[in-house]
Amino acid sequence: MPYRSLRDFIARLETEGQAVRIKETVRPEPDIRAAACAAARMPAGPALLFERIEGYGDKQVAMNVHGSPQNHALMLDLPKDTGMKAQFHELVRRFDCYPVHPVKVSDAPLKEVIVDNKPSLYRELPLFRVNPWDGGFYLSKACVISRDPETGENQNVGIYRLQVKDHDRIGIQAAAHHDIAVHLRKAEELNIPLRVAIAVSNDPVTSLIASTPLRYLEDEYAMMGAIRGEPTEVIPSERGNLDVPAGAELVIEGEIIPRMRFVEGPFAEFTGYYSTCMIQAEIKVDVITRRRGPIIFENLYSGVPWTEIDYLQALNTCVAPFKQMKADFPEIEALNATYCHGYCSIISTRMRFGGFAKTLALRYLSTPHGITYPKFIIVVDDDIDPFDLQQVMWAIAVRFRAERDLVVIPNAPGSTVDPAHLVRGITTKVIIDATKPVFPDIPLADASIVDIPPETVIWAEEIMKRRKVSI
Amino acid sequence: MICPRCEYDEAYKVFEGEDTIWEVFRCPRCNFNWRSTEGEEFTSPAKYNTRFKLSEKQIREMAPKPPIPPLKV
Repeated sequence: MPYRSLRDFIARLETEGQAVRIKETVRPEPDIRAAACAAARMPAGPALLFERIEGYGDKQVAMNVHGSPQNHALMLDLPKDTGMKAQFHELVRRFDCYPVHPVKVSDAPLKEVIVDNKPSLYRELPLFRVNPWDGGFYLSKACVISRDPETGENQNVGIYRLQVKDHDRIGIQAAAHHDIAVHLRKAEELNIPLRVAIAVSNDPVTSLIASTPLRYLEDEYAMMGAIRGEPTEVIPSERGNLDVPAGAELVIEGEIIPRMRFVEGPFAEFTGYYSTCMIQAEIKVDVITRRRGPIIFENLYSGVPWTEIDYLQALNTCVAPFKQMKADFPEIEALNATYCHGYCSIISTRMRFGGFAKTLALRYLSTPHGITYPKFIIVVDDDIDPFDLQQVMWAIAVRFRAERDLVVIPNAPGSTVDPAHLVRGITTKVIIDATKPVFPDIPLADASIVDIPPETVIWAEEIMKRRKVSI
Repeated sequence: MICPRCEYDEAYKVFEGEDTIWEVFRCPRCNFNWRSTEGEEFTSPAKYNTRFKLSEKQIREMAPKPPIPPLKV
C-alpha cells in the first residue's frame, strides 16, 4: 500500500518497531543531531519523532526516516528483512514501470494555511543546526521543484542543500551538474528569476526519487508513480506553474534571484567532511503553505558514514545508472554505488569479450551520475555479489593484475564536495578490473575455482539447528 | 552584536523561541545564523573555531557556484 504522506509512513514504521517517539523536551542543539546520528549507526536504526523541542511549541521533528535497510524495505512495502541486493532488483523491476504519470488534485492539507504576508521560515519551522560547524540552519531533505524557464517544460524535483539565512531567504547549492543548474543557467542568461517550490516533509518515495540521478528529461513524478505502484498526487503551487507533492507538510515558494551569489556554507556533506564556504544562489521566499496544526519537520543528519544519507542516497544511486548501462550492455548484472554516493562503486557483469570490464566502467562514467561522482570503480564477474565486500575483496585479491587491469584517468570531472580534490570539480578516476580475463585476453594461470561442497547448504541448516543462540 | 564567525559588528536578532527561551541572530555579511543557547564556542567571536572563521578578504575572493553565465543578447 503506497504511503500518501510522511505521517502514513511513520505510522507503518511504528507498527513494525522501526520508529521511536521522543516525548521529553529536547534542545534544538545538540540533542536532535546526536540522537539522529545514534539512530543511524545502530543495527536496524529506527526513525525518530521528537514531539517537544525547546522553544518551538508543538512543532515536531522527524529524523532518520530512511535510516536503515529495514526502513528502506518498508518504504518499498517489502518485508523489513529484505536484503540490499533483493531491494536493488525490486527497484530495477519497478523502474521498468516508468512512466506512471501523476494526478492533479485540487485540495490537500498543505493548503490549509497560506502565509503570503511577510512569511518567516523561523516562525514556520523548528529549525536546528544539523552539524556544529554548519553555517546555519539547513533544510537537508526538502524537495525543490523547478521548470525550464524558456520552455515551461522539463519539471524537475531534486534534493539540494538549503541554508535558511533570514526570514525569507534561503541559500541553495545548485552545482553545475545538477538539473536545477540547467534551469538556473537559462534564467540567468535571460536575467529573469527562476521560480521554485520547496516541499518539506514528504512521503518516503518522493524523497527517494528526488535524490535519484535520473536523466534530465525524465520526470521524477512519473518515476515516483512507477516505484509506488500508483500515481503520485500533486497540487498546483500558489504562484508560477509548478506541481508540488500533495502529501507534503509544508511548501515554501519563491524565486532564485538572478545573477547574484551570496555567502553559503559550510555544510557537513555526505562525504563525512564539511564542504567549504562559497558564494551561491539565493531564493527570495514569498509564500508558505502548510497544514493547520502541529507541523512535522523532516530533516536529515549527514556525517561520517553510515548515516541516513547513506541509506536514502544509496540503492537509488545504483539503479538509475544501472538501467542506463543495461540498455547498452545487457551483460551487466548489478551496480553497488552505495559508498559516498558512488565515489566508490562496484559493477558486476558477465564478460562479452576480453577487456569488456573496461568498456562497462567507461560507460558508467558517461551516465549522468557517473560523469562526476564515481572516482574508484571496481568491476567483478557475475559470480560475485557486488553488495558483499568479502566477495569483492576476494575477486580483487585473486583476479586483478595491476599491469593490465588498472586504469587511471586524470583530469576528469569530479564531485565538487570531494574533500580530496586538488582542483574543485576535477578528479582522477581509477578503474580496477577484477574480472577473470576471457578470450582474447590471457587467461589466469590457475583457472580452476574450488567448488563449494553441494552439501554445504544442508549442513548450514543442521549447524544452525544445533546452536543454542539465535543469530 | 558581533558575528562570532566573521566579526562583522552589525549582526542582529531575527527571532526568539517561546518564552524567549532562546534567541536567533544573523550576520548580514556572512549569513551566519546562531542560537543564544548553543554555547560560547558558537556564540563568542573570541572562542569560535578558528578553522571556520571567515575574513572579509575570504568572502571577497569566494568563487561563485554555479558560475554566472553571460547574458543572452
